[in-house]
Amino acid sequence: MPDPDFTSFAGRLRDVGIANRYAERAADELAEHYADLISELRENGWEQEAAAAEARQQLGPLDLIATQMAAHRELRSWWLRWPRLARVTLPLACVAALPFTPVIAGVLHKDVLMRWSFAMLASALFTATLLGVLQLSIQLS
Amino acid sequence: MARSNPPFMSGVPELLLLRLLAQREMYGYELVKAIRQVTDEAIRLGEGVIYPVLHGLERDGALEARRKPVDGRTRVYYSLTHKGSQRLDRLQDEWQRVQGGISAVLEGGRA
Repeated sequence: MPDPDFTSFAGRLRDVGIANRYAERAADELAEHYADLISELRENGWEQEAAAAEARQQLGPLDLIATQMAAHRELRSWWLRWPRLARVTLPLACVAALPFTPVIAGVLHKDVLMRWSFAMLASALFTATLLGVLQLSIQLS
Repeated sequence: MARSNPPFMSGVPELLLLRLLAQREMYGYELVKAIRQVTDEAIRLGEGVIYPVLHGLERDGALEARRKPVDGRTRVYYSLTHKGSQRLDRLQDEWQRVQGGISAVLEGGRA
């Protein structure tokens, strides 16, 4: 039987509204917890397969843990805790951020931007050189 | 699946976690084991209980969390803050008051 999918577990937590930082950390912690359970069982003489099965049994279904975590409203993203406030502030924030979007996108993707700029410059130089050579050859002929 | 405790335990995990973390910093698995050992298996906190409580306490500023690499693995260690110490004192007082009340009833107190 495969190990529990802790990556999907983080996604499940996000789906039920748990803030990303808690969802990621809970998934990491549970993965460590599962590994610790197996290590302890192995130290007590269990075979790897049996230890993994027992650890899964002790951990219980990840869906159930996600449901238990979802009950903790304080761990939810702020827009789910205060939806009315979010409905007012988020559209305003989006409108306010709109003029800065190209700058932010430029900063976030500066590597791609630099590569494209270099490619554009190189192609412009190549075309200019080609045209220059063409012009020169016409004048000399 | 691990057997955990019924709903009347609400509030107890927080008290136990703060008390254990008052002694030294610990990570989730260590805390689950410590609670089982100290209470002689009377209290078994499930993973679905312990991690949300730890995260909630950290969010409230009662705990501090830090990632620490140990033997090639990264563990999240929790430690008590000053705010957490104050919260622990308050919870201990409250618990002792409730415990006294329950003991009085169990020992045959009548209205």
